[in-house]
Amino acid sequence: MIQALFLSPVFSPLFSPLFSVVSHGLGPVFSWIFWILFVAGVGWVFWRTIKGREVERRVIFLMMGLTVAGAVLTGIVLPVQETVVVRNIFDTIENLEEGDKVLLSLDYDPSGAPELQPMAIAVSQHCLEKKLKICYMTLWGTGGAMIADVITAIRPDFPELVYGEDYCNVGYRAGNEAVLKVIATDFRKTFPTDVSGIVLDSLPMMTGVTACPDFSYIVAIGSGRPGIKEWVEYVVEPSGALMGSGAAAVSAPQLYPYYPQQMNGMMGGSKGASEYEKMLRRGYPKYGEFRAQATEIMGPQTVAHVFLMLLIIFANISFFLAKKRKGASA
Amino acid sequence: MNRKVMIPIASIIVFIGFLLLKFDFEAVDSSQALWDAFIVTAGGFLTLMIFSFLYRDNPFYKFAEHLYVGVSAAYWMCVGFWSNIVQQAIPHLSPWLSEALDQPFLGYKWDYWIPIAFGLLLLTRLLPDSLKIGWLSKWTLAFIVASTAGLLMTANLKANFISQISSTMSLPLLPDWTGFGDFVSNFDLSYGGQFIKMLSNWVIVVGVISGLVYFFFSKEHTGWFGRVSRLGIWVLMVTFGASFGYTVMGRVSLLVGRLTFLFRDWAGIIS
Amino acid sequence: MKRQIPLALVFIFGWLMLALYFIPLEGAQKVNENMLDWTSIIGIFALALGIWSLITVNLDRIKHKKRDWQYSFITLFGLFGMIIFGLKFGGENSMFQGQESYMFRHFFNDILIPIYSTMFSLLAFFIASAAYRAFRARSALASILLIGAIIVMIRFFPFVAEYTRPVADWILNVPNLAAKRAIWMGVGLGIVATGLKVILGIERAYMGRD
Repeated sequence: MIQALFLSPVFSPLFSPLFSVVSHGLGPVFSWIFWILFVAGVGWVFWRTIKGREVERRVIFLMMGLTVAGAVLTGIVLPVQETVVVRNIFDTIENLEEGDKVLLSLDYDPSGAPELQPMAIAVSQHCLEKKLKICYMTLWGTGGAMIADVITAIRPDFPELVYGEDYCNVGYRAGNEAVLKVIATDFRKTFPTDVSGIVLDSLPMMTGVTACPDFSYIVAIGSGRPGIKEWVEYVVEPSGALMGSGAAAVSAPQLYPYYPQQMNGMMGGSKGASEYEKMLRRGYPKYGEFRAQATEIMGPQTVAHVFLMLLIIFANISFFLAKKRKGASA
Repeated sequence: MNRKVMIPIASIIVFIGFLLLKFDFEAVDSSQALWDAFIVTAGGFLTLMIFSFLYRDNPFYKFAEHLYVGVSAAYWMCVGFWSNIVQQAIPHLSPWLSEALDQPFLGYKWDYWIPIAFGLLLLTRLLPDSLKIGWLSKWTLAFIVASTAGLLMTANLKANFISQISSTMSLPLLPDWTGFGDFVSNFDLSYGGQFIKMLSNWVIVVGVISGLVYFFFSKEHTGWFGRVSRLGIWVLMVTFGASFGYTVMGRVSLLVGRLTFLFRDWAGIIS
Repeated sequence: MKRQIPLALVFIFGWLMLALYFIPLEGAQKVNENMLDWTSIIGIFALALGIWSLITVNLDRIKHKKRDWQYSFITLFGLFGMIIFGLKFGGENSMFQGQESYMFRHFFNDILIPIYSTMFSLLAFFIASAAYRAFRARSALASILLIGAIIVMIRFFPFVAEYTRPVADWILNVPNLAAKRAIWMGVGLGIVATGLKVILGIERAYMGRD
């Protein structure tokens, strides 16, 4: 009955702009239970806070955990707003010619994967839809596994891909900035072979690639050092290569000084990734909403932000009430 | 039976229970199915072990933490060895070694012996003190420090200093005057008109200068200098606020990733 | 001797790296690239040194039964397990295929990934707790911090985001850019100053005490 109510013509329009419940979620009944519990929990924290009583650290932890868990289980999806800084990357790839080469550097580890892996997948899908050739590399030892995961994720959509002709993986080299400094002018010096020991010259797609600027576009996706900043310093600055980036949320604000002069676009955290997924869906409808990893994250992300902001607001109300009481007693 | 014995035994029993739940009894290759069940169960348990730290530090957390230290150190070592020594250096050092390690021989390059020699010098630290040659490792250290310093200096000077100054100073502080109507036409902050663009450019230039003044500690922050530095800290506070907002997004993304793993891959509650 | 030679090496190689950057000849660039290539190979020897140190520290803990010594067995188990599966021998059908090994990949995917990403996700909880306890408008500066954070965070909310997004984007693109630019310039100058001190032998902390 509740399900019918939720989906009824009266209530549906009320909720649909706010969020939609994804098929993988536990369904509307659970959603309602979750929202009731959420409101009750937040109400309790509010009551304790304005009364000036201590809310234990572990209670906040529990509430945070339940909030995100509930949102994951209900599978809510929220509308995403596009921004120019992400659109620039999409448009650059969109305007490349068939057969152009793109260098994708995945410089992150599993801790960055939830927000950065969707970017790598979406950019790869976009490049392959445009029939561009992708060369994967990484500056992080853990990046090799990330590249393997991305390739596994995109292969089913492009069964006709041929290794060495449509894409290749040169893998990892230790050396951080030193690697970038060298490949800016001589790609083969650092990467004489690909990840499995095949000489780069024997890969058809790498013909004519001697240095980074030979790639029509570089997309560096990274979560720390070495990462996007180092790409700008050691590749873009000296060689003038065209670059876009995907940054982990933590490092994204620090990279704004390089936009738009040194990198023409940037995806920041899961929001940036979800924007790219949205653009990809619009351009290529076969990428349905519910296959978009970052878009799935954005629902729980928003609920967690609501919770966090409520905590901040409660804490400040309590602070001002306490100040007022103190002022009155003095 | 005391708790120290009970808890590990109970944990092993629960682990085996989950393992059996995940085990595909109809699989043709049962050893593969057992391994698949084991890795998913282990992944879930390790995730929960780390989460248990939220309650308090405990043996489960310590177990996962220590396992992580060992595995990650070895992982980096192995990946580095195969990538940089085997794939990068060996193909230029010896045809015999290249063949033994399944690598194509790409021709001799004598200079690759230099880093190998420096590397071996670094390892002299491991030799017994009685040999008194451990100090040779400092030669390698000197090389690494010197090359890194030289590399960082030039790149930082270009990308983080000169380029940033030129990007700031090239901003037009006055509009291309095409009439008052155009000047005040569009107040949308995203695609603003001339006035908004001019205002933004002024904020950037003043923000950069005042921010630099705040970091300049050779002069006391009093008088006009103090006021400019005060403005600098205000601009810095806005950016720290923005960074906080972004950090929240990043950390919640990770949490969502882990919980999705727990609910979908491990517990199988959602599809 | 023990100190002079490393200092001389730093001076020579440091200036060489700087000079090579500015010499526009192809030969100079090749030498520069070679030197950088060497550092990445030397780095692996440094890693080996680190592994050795990890082993000795843990063996020492076990030997002297120091606090939580039992867990050192787990560290060593993880370490040697991963190293053994990272070896390559026994031909194509062997389970030891270097970094391509089935077990090596699974150690990474099923032990390293869960622990590593969960550890970082714990910060979400601590951020929530810290925001509740410390994020208060105690002063004008704290209020600015608070407002900046709220405007950036509010970008996620449907309905509201439509109106606040331009402000959030402006904050990121304008004041945030200005402050970060000031920080980067400071960092850039700091690195140049430290680099010069190292090359000239004024800064010697990297040499250790002996």
